[in-house]
Amino acid sequence: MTHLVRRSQLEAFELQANAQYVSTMVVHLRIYFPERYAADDDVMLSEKVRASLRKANDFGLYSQRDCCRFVSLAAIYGRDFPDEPASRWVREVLTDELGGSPSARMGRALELALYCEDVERRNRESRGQFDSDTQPWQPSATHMDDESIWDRDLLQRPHTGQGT
Amino acid sequence: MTQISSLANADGAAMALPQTHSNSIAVSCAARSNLRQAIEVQVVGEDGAPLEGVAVELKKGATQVMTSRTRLDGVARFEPLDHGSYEIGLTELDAGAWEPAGTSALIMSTVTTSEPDWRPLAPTSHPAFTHSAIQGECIARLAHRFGFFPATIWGHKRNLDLADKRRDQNVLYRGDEIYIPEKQSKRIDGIVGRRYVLKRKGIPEVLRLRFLRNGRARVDEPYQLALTSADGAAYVDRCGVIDRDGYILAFVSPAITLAKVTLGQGALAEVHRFRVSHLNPIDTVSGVKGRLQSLGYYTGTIDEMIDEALHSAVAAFQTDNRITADGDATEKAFVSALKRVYGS
Repeated sequence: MTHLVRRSQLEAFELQANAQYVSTMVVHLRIYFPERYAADDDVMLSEKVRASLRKANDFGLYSQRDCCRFVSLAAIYGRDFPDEPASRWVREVLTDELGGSPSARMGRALELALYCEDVERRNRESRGQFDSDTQPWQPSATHMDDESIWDRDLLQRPHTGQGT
Repeated sequence: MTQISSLANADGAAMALPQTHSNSIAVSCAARSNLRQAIEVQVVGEDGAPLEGVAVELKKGATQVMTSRTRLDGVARFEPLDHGSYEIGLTELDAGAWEPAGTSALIMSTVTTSEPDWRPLAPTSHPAFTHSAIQGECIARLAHRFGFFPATIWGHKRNLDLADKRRDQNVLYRGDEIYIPEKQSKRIDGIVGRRYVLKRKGIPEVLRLRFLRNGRARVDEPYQLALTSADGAAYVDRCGVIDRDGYILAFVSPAITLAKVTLGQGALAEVHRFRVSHLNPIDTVSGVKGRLQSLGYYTGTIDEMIDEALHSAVAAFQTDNRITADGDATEKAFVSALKRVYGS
């Protein structure tokens, strides 16, 4: 026996599944990022999730697993994180043609984000032991303006945790 | 901490979504059917430490490739694969920049249901070019940036004149013309069910910092070393004590541009900042000034001007090293002594 499913029915299923997924992500964000979204009601948060999901799709991310990772990164780095200078490396990882499938790229971006967090935590602890400044060392503006040190080509390179 | 646990739970949340049950059935079925149908490539440095972010290519037949970058454990995994022969290469690296370092049977830890990401093999070429050095570059950093083993660049016949002039591949001068040869590709055979370890040659570099007090090595003082590179990569701070010759030695990425050393702890802590590979050749005025500044004789601006401050600093150094104190920064005995005392 063959079941025929009309296109309109498929679209209806898809809409329902998407709505269900957005609701699930809202719950996820409420649980794991309660402070960040405390000011948002569910409608506002749902809209933010939808916006993040649209961006995830732009990077070729469609599975629930990958979308959840992307939404979580957005919660940490901010909704516009792929375009922010401080987190531009994420965009570079997600669009890296040599990085494998979009899902593999997302996995690498998440791994690097975790690694950065871990390094920052460990460095804070060791700097605390030395009683020196606990902030990561940022070169002065003078240094940053000196192209002889901060090679523009190097600045374009994807973020790499250990340096290759 | 919150962010880490939240991110870590991002995976967990995905698994808790609807259809988890059917997903898990699919995974266990795949685990049986895909057993050992993978190839792993681990890229390590010369110290055996894994390297993250290295582009690895798996070639199937004459027309198809799959690419991936190594993860934090240095491993790129290719799956699911049909049984057969494949070729493995590091696409961004010259043939002389890596070599096979071992292989072992693959122990399956996870199996995914993902589809293989084969793409048509695209012709690539990496033609030779000439690079004009800027301040802060050395051969190791250029080799790292362009995907070469340092000796391949430094030993190239078209760089022999430069090598003869500079003598030290760690010390270039802005405007030096370095010939970067055409990148050669290399592949090794790969068999499904095995892990291949590939060694990236020329990484890591050794960072040497020596601390003296009144000309004598500072010994056994606790230090903390923080590293920065222009690409924003994260580096774990190194902690230890200065060795008995006054040195701090650290294996580092050639990409490192800045190093901050904190000596001592608490209120007595001293902070020293260094621009890595920033020193000019010793046959330049700025190179002499830089060395004298590091040794505590010169406190002025690092430039190419021969001025009174340099004259005084040279004379003071000459006196301490029992050379005729004429203040001449180009005098042969002075240059030789400076090179010996400074170390390069």
